[in-house]
Amino acid sequence: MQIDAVEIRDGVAQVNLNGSLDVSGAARIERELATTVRSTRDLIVNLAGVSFLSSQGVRVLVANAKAMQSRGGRMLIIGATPNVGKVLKVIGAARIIPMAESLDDALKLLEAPGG
Amino acid sequence: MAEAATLSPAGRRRTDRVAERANADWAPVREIALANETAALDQLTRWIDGLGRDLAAAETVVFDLKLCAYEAVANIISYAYDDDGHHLIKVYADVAPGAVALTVEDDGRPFNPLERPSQRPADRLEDASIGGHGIRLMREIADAVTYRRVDGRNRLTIEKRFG
Repeated sequence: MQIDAVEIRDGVAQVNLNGSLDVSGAARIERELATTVRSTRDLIVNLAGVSFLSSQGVRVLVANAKAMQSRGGRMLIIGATPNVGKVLKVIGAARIIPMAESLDDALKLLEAPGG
Repeated sequence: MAEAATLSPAGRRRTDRVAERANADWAPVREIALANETAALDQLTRWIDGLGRDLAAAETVVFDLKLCAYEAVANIISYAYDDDGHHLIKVYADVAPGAVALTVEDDGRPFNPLERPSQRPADRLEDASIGGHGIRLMREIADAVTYRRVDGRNRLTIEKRFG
């Protein structure tokens, strides 16, 4: 599991995740994801490179999304494959962490009133 | 039956397992023994990838099988044992036309995940619980899940149909 983070614009960062986001994958990215979450207002999480997602991976995403919300920020997800999207939907994460089709759509969601 | 008498204890369990599926079309194809440690989860996912290749199963079927077995075994490693000792978790794959079944066997404390009430997904992020979703995931993604306690072991069978 690999993670890289880039700043998209002031207050908005994007992280790209690649590999299996499971027990060991979540452990590998946990620290860097938390560091990125602390350093930005809003975060776009790109899951296009995530080939497998287990409940332990969702747990890390939801925990960080909650941390961002408590500070007035938001987390959005882009790039989920149909299989990964299915996991997010069944667990209910897709209802509470907004998902967008593309980076442009995610940025528009952040610009929308209340975003 | 003379044939059964020649089987090893492990072989007899396999025969019983197939018989209890009450369908003559089921056949055992693979099995693996995993240690009760986190590293075994990577071994499990590689094993299911190999099974998927052997069966030429669609990517979604392999993903679903991997997810269900992963959640079951991760749960066993985390919660099934009252001691810190070494335990083996066995996973058996059986196939029938248009279906694959994975049976996960452990010698941990009795636990029937089907008796656990399903947690309703939260509507708002602030209400979302961070963990405890693995069992619902397994139950929703599998086409059938059955549980039996046999000879002091939990036996959970996860079935996925395709085609």
